[in-house]
Amino acid sequence: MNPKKLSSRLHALIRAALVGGFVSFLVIYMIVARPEYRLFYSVVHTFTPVAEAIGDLLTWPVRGTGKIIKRIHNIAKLEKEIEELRAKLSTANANRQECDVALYENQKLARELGIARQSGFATIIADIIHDKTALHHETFLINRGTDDGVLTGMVAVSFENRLVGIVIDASSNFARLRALNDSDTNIAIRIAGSEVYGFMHGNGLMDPTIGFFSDHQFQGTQGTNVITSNISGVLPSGIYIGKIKNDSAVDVLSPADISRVMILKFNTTGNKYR
Amino acid sequence: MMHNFIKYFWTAFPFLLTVMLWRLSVPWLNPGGILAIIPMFYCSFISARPYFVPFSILFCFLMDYSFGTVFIWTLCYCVYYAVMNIQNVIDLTHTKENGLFAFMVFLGIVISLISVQSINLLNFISGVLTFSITCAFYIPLVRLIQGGQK
Repeated sequence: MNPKKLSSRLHALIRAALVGGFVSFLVIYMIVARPEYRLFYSVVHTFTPVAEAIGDLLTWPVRGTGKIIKRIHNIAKLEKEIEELRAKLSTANANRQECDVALYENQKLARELGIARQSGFATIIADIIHDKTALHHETFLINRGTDDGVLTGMVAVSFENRLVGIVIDASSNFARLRALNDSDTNIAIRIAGSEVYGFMHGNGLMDPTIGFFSDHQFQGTQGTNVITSNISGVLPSGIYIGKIKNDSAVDVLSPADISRVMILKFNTTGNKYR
Repeated sequence: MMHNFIKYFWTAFPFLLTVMLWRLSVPWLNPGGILAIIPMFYCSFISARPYFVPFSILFCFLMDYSFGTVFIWTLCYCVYYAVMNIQNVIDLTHTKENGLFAFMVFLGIVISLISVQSINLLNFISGVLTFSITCAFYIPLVRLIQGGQK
């Protein structure tokens, strides 16, 4: 018998036994530590910034080129938008009186529908640093963490006060948010201007869908506004989510469409949203 | 001096490649840095490198974090590793196409486990597309790692 081969085989068996033991540890840990998984998250919180820093160092030419292409594309879009806005401005200037009336009516309607809010919350402005969309999970990282006051359960809105995601994990200097498309998203909603309540469920790549429990007969029409409700005691009420596209699908804002968000600071005690 | 540098570079290359592929995650083409599983698989099962297994386990954690899953990548990797080392019927080090078919089985299992959590047409297409893209990148990336070895 070849002793070298035997020793090599023995080493392979020892390695297999060690990794097998680690599998058993993971399975027990999954049962015991559910649902917080503190050890897992502390390992990830330690190594993610290190791996990202090394990755940034190694991949800057690729990412730099990508950013330049994206900016050129954005500039082209902005030029088009500027032209459109100029045309709109000249029209609005021509009929300013109508604009003022429309603005007043718009503010009045927004107040009546319960959309215009935010004044009660302090906010933290954060940049989206990493889009982690993968299969049916859509999460993203922001560059603010617990050191800045970001806590699990807080919500992120766009600068147009539109819901973007919910903080599901906060490290000291970064936080991970779950986008509304994520298949684990399940939030309480309300039809703006009515007392129809329901839940919105993420579907991965397809638009999130809503189901109503307060009025099963309710048929959402295209363009109806959907806002958050605090019926489950998790999210603050009245944050604008999006418009109904068809029977039950809602057009929501994706983190890929924006680069910055505002985190609304509120008391998350007892908030177990994950 | 230069020779030593090149030697160390190619020794570290699979590690660096893993970090790069994980960092260059983009939706559709490399969701969650899934392409990083290629050097991890090749350097753990087909052409084993020292210290690559603990490194791979760590990156499986990071991939689990990216995918929003709890230990699916880590568990599948560890189970696959334990099974491949505990028996001597299947020897992946001598398989055709540098273990492409073994990789497809591994990847197929993981993607199925993740995709089954939310089944709809678009998610299914996304799963198939991710599987196809990752498998298509397997041979070129393996050739790149082998190029350094030679």
